[in-house]
Amino acid sequence: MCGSGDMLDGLKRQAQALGIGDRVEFRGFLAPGAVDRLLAQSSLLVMPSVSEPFGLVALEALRAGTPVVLSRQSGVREVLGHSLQVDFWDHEKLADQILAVLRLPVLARQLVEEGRAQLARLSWDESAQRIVDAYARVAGLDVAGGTAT
Amino acid sequence: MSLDGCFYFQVHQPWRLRRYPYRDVGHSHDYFDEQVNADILRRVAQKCYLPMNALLLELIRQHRPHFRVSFSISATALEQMAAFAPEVLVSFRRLLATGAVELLSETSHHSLAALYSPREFAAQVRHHRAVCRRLLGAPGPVFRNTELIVSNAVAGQVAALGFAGLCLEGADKLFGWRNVAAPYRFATAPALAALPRHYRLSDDIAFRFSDRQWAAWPLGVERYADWLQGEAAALPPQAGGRGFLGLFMDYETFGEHQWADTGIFDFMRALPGELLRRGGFRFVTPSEAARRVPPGAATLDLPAPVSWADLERDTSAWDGNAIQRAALAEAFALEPFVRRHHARHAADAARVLEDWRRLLTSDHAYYMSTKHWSDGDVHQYFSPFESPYDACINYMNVLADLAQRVGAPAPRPV
Repeated sequence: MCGSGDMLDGLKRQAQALGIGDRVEFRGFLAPGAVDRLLAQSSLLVMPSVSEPFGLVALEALRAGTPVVLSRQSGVREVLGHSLQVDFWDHEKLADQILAVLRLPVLARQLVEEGRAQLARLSWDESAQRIVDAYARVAGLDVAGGTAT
Repeated sequence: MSLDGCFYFQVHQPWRLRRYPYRDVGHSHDYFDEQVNADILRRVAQKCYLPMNALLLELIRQHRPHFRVSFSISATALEQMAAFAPEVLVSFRRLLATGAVELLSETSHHSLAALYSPREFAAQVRHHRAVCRRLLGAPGPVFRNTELIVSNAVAGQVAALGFAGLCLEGADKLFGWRNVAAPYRFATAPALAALPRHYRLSDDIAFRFSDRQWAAWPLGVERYADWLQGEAAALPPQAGGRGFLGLFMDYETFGEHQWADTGIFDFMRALPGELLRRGGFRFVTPSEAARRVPPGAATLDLPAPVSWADLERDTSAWDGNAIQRAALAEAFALEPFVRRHHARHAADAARVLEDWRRLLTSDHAYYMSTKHWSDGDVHQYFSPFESPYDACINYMNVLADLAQRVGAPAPRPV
């Protein structure tokens, strides 16, 4: 687990209380380069968010070659069909997906390859253009031709 | 010029898996979702099997002895009918009793065994015959492989089992400029008559019938009969004045894919009468069609498998991605262990063999297809899973349990 915040101390105590203190690493705040290295070393990124407007970290993990399990309550899952997805409350399925990625390298590889292909089609320019197009449609403008239609 | 028309309807239902979490491995050997399978079978029985069987019986009686149809029914579908809707079996028996209906042979479990294990393929063909005999009646001498998957190798296996004919997709990439209605045999298995599906005229009924964007909508029997007459007129000289028209489709087309309110039942009610009235058209069973193919007919060479699936007409619907190939390899790798377990007459031997075969049903691999996945295509329409990856994980969990039951080593990571 990396990053810092209000919950960090509480999470450390919880890990101890659960008897998994030696299995969970708390790395604290990491610089961007260090985050990428950590992602690349990981077998899997799990994003079990209760609610996540987007979830950029999932795309960063894929870029680093790491498959992702996404909460179905995240925005990123809409653009990343090639991912494992789970309702945040469905612990059994979440455990199954984590085990499957660790157990089935072929699954992990396909998730990364296909996910990266989807990632390659996502860009800020593309997103910006779609917003411009949407506004243009509503305003009745023909952006390409530069004239009102 | 005249045509021999052959209706063949595919009836298949897989044993769908229940949600099987990894923690059940080694603890629970119940893999299949009884409730979902029963619900689906009963729904399809009400919407399709029962009303369509009744209609066909009516048509056979009305046009006796001229109207004929044929069915290929997987053993997994037959066993589900026996368990959940036995009245469907009764209605099929009534149809067969007319003598105007023929059953095709296929693999018992609608499997891809022809591509992976000739031994299991032959065993499933025998098993299918036995289940048909027990529940309906014996199938005829023509074979239809899962999803019309045919290659030179498959044709060789089918010929070795003594069949007289083999159905296949009349794919453009196979026939090219050649007329699909002419008589053909297989280059590597000349004992087998080739019975090609006319995909355009079949799909006009199976896929396009209710499509309001289609130029021919709404399709009436007069127009459809015109098209069939057009095929007859276009026959090449080597057809000897008589061509073959394979109208092969999923039986669920009637009432399930095309709902009753599209008029599909009315269309079928009127079609035989219209064709027989015009003349130059005869309904035949597959065995009659196979007998009409002369020994010296032109031959078809299929180095790579051709199927009736998707636009690609190949096997990529089942083995197009890495997880599908891994799952299929894993499932077929259990074969020697399942056989050894069976030979030991273990108490659960019959159940283990049946469970394994149910897992070989091609539908499980189909649910893992990621072809055109982002478009939410036809694969997902049929899938009980939220995604191809969920389908894969669930299937691999079940396989892990089956491997333990037969004493197979844990699968090597691939």
